[in-house]
Amino acid sequence: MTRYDRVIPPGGTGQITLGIDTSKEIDEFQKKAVVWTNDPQRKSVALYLKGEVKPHISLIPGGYLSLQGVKGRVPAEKLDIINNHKQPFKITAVIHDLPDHIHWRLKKNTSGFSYTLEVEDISKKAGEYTGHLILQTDQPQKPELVIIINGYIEE
Amino acid sequence: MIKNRIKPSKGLIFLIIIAIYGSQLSADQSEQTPVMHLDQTTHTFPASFEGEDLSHSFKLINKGTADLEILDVTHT
Repeated sequence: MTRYDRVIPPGGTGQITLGIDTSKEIDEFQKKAVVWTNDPQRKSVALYLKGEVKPHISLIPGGYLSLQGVKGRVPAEKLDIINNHKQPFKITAVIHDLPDHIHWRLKKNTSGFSYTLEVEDISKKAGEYTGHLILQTDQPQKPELVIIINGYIEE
Repeated sequence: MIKNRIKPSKGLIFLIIIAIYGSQLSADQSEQTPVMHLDQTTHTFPASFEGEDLSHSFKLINKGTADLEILDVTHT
């Protein structure tokens, strides 16, 4: 988002307003905008916006799990779900579309700010699969978290 | 005879006046320029969460004598 006064009279003041889409920026960011003017001594000037955008809830190490191995002996995979706000949160439901392939367990950590999700493979056949596991939360800013599950199961 | 030699003609005086006036006019015109002044060129937001609105207004002052025009703002 960019807005600016197009003409500023002698002695007058104007504004250049720059915005950041925080739904697309996660982590530290630096954005640059170049202003072009008719000032013969300063035809352009660079403006910078800096900051840090945190997710409401972090998934560590990431938003996907990969289950790989020989059928019946596939190591379970874990991820941590961490609330970045200053109050505890709850995961109210877990939904997934891989009933023939995975089994999950959710452990609430004592602080109330994080959970650990463990997913294991229960496939009866070798093959590959991809699906989604959805965590529903009581946090209004992030009511749903989607985790992608990939499986590569060998005979 | 000597007096007549150093006395400038009316035409020459007219040309000198025009030249002086013209140079002043030219000087005045060259001073009519905008001068952009910015108090800051970098703004750092406090840490925020995804989805929050983040915007900042940079203040510009025109310290010149002609209109300052913002021709474009480009993003890189």
